[in-house]
Amino acid sequence: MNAFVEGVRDILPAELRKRRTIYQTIREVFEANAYREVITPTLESLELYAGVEGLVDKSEMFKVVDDKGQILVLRPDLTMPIARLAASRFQDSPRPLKFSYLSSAFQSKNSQSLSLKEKTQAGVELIGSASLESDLEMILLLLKTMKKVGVAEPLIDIGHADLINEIFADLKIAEGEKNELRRLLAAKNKIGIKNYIKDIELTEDAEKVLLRLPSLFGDPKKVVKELENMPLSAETKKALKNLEELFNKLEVFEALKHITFDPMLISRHGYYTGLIFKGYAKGYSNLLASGGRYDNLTEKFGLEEAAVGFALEIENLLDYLNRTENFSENLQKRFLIAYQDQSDLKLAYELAEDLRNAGFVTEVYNNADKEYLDFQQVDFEIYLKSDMLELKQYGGEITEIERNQKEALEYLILNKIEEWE
Amino acid sequence: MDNLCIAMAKGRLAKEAVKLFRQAGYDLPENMLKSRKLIFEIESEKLEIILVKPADVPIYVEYGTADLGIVGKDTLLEENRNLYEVLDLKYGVCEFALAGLPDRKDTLLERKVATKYPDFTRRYFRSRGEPVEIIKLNGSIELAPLTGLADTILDIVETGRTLKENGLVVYESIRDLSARLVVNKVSMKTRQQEIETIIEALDQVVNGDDENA
Repeated sequence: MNAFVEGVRDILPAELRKRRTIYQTIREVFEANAYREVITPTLESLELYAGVEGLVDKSEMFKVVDDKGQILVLRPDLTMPIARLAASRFQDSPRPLKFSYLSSAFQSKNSQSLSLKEKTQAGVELIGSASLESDLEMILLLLKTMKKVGVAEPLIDIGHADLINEIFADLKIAEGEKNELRRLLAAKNKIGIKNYIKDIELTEDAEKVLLRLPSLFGDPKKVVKELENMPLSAETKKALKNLEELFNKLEVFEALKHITFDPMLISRHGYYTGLIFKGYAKGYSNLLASGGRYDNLTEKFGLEEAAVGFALEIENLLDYLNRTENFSENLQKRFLIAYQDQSDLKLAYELAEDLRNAGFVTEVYNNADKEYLDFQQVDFEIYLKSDMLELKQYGGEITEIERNQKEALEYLILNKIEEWE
Repeated sequence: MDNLCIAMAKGRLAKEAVKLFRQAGYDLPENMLKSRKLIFEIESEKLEIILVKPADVPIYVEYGTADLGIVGKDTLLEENRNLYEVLDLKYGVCEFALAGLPDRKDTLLERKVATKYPDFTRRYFRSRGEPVEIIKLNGSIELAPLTGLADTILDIVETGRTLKENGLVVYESIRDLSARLVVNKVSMKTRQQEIETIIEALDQVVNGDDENA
């Protein structure tokens, strides 16, 4: 029998401990900012996701058929279910709605480098607010979350979903040429663009702009300035003005040093309508977070409203933290208690409980050999003997403690340990 | 910060790449490729160069193990990875072509195409709407039509000499190919300045001054 499934994995204690630390930090930040956590079902109807252009290809979703023959999917994304929630159960609730989540999403083919079929995402959604301040709030919250979990130099690349279309309209690009040009621009493929525009009719200005766009990104203010000087329409410049305002606000918060601007940033998720952004860490080459504005998504449920959100890629974050050893882990000391005489069983349990209450991991087990101690990563062994108690540091000191005053045992043990450390 | 890592396709492309970097003023040891080492730390230039199989260059770059890569367009088309392709280095020039025996008859069943590039071949024929059977081979593709394994091959053709010596002809040129500079999508943003410096220096060597039109 081959019981292994490709693209999914067991999470073992060492990793889980680190995950929990990250989860806790993220949840604290989200909750402190009034984004309350929800858990949506693992199974959703295929209809929820079908027809959302550019979200997840139908063929990349895991499908399940229920007993009524209805096709369900393992949720490939966590934003859609929250949009559904907002438009149904929270239809009449005051706006804006603020939700957060920390769950797994499933995709049969994952374009991310860590090619897992089940990946963990933690994110927030802010529904019912179209203001620039909410865009700002998202960026600042993402920066804060990344810093709190231990990303030393977070970086957020900002783009605008409509910008490329506006620019195409300004340059009078024919409909049939847009797709290929969009692909080439997203790939920053200057050679491809050069070859492609050789055969199509364009004004000299348009050619110039198209050839400049692939290398126009980076310092937000510089890029905005250059775009403003290009022969683009008033409408495009209005979109730029909005971004510029966002950058100015970020500067006030001294966050602009973490921001880059890429006018040709294109998201895989076709539902974004305005601001889009991606979170990175300096020196790490995988995506840590992505987000943006999706003002049309709830329309699907008969309720059109503005929304913005982001999601952190937990597996990539773990990989990054593991490489940079930026884990802030609080490792608890571990005790193992053994006893000689059956009558000491109760004492062993009581002592264990005392130690647990004092913040130590403690287990009672009589037949531990070295292999077991290694595996359980035990730091201290306590051996209850008839006349005294033996305290042993793993691979180190040994001492004997009198056991006539039961109440003082815990105190004596902790004293000794402190002495050793 | 770590040195910028460049993945180069082992073999002729790497040789040319080292030459190009030297022309661009980078202090790479002239005969570094003579050794069997696969990894070179060039501290003076803050570069690390790794030598990998051509088909692996896009993989190293997509995963971000390497920030930049130098690889043939044929490999890029076959691997179809998520990367930035920023510069045509204009060497290793050749083309993708369909070739076979001069007197190919239309087959009754699906056309059989032998190739080292099955993914590109699949996409190419699909875009033409022609159903074909693709046979993936690992070398000596020219042998396929001669032995009757396939009636057509899709391969890179440089001078056409190998085809000619084996009595094969080009049916159709598909597209031009050459070596390209590719960049990891995240590195491009997180290490923009260092990477732009390299792109500009290489661009200068390859295209001279006339490029900044």
